[in-house]
Amino acid sequence: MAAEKSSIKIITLIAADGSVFEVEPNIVKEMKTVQSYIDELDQNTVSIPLPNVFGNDLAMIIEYCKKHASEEETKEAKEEFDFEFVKRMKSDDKLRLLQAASYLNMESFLQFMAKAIAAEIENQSVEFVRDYFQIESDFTPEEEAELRKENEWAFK
Amino acid sequence: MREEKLKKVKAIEKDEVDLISDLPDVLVACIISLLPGMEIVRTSVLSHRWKTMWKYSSHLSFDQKQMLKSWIEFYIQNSNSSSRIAMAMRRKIDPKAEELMDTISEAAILIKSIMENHIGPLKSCSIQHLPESCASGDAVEWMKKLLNLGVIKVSMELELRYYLHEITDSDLRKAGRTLDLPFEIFSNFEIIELKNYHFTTIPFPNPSQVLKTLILNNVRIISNNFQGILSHCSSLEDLILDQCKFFEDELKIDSPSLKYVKMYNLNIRKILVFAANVEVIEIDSVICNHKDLVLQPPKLSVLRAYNDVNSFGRGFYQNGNKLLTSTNIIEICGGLLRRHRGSITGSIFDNLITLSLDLALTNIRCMVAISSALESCHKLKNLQINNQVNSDYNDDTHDYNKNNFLPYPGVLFWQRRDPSQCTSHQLKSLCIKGYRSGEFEVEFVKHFILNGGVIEKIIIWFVDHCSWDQVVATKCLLSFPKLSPKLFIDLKPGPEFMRKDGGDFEKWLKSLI
Repeated sequence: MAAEKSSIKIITLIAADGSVFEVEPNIVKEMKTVQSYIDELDQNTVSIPLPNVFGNDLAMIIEYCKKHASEEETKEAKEEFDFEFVKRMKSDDKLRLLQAASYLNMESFLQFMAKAIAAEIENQSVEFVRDYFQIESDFTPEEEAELRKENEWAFK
Repeated sequence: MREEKLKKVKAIEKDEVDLISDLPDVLVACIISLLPGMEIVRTSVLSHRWKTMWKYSSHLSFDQKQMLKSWIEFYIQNSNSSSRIAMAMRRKIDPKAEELMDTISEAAILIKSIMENHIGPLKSCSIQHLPESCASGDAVEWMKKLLNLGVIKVSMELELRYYLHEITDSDLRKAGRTLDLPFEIFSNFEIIELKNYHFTTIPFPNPSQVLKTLILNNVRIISNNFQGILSHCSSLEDLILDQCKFFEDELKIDSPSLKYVKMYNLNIRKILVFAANVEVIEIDSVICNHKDLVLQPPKLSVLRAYNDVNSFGRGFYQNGNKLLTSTNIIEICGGLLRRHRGSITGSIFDNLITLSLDLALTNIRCMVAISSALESCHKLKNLQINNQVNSDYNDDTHDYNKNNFLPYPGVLFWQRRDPSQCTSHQLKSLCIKGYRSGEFEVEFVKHFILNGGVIEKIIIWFVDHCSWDQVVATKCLLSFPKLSPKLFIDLKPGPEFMRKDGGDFEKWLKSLI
């Protein structure tokens, strides 16, 4: 069993839009959802459909995994990569990637995206955060004022 | 008004449900739990759905002086710090007495009530607090509460920047800084991080102890019980000590459960590490009496030794203590200093797989040290060297270069050296940072190209200010006959260039012309 598993050379991931990615087994280690597929299937080649992840997003996730799975990259180089990786993303991208990370059950990537999102809403006004998450306030102004008063100590 | 609200609700219902407003609660909780301080509470006014979301967060972080901020600031400015601490000490004895309450105690109560009213399982918590809450015992009470809530990781930090140093009465100052923690609280968290305290606890055999990671930052252990902590925390695996001071100026680490030890910015006369199962040791900028250093963990597989030479300057001495450089460590542990008691038995190099050092590749003494370390390492696979470019620090290192320490020019050192057993049969990767491409460095790399029997990777990170011909001298090494057929040499441009223009080496080389 163990020997057969290790004989898997290439894993094919199929995104929601049909785009296909071929990756080595060590790249998908962090994707627990994919990993459980691989463990169940007793085959040499594996092809896994991921209907909840778009091709563009999957490409980015794979890029991230490749960098972080690499042993020769130093810690600093990985941090540098993370910084640039987040920098080129829009807010929507981050939220989509967070969802994808959740679906793929990637613990550390999920934390990484959550951190990037938290950094964007940190120190921002209530209105900004509503806008960011596209939240419509369903409080009456009175209700909101009361809540603000109740938690006054948390507002600046 | 009500109509307007209805309209809004309908508008939302009509909207296509997109990914974002569909963000599941778990993910929202995950994001907001990362917000600093009590910013998380502000999310409660976003909408009905968000009102109590923060109470499900698995992490809370409190900053006492930010809570009730304007009142606390006003109070601190308009009252005497000594009398505040004295009042807090009385509060410890009589916690219900109303005449002893102030804004700081209100903030302490608020912290406690937020903990009590939290709904979701709280896994970790960090609290930054004022000295008064040390004196009043609130800090210990919070930790007790957190433990009852099932928290596994706690980070406590005493706010030091304010007024503690102004207090002249030493008893009051002590009360404002001391965390006297019952051992059953201390040892029942899995991860504890303490910062800026004078810390004391009375260790005893505690069957329910689970402490795995202990991080002490700027902590003074005020009684002679660090040893007791180590021996009674039998599940402790990670120990991180940063700027700590120990009773009797001695640090002895011999816990058999420890796997990982980090020592940063310490200044201690005597350091003894015997711990039988330690696998990783990291030392950074430690000052000690070199004669009193003993490092003998027999199972060590990773050693990282760094020293911030620039911040210590030339020849730093204090009570016979001095900066422990990477070179010192490998000399002491490698038995190069024959009379040193740390060299008497066994070698920490026996099981070493990864060695990472700050080292000046142009310095003969460093070269001799690393060369002899390689002789003693029989299993070493990875060697990383951070070349100390502007290393002025020396005790007597320059004498080695000047006084004809070798019977031939220093630059020939590596050519004259027979390859160690480890270089020929074990070493898989060599990584050099801060590489200037000087002739000593080129010779060093050449040694491994010509003699590394199984080496697979040599990665060289150049510094930014290299001249074109120097870099070309290293590039020429690529065409040298490699002993190991698997060897791949990776040359990386200077860090500044990489940040701006990416990692294309050829492009960088052209930019140097």
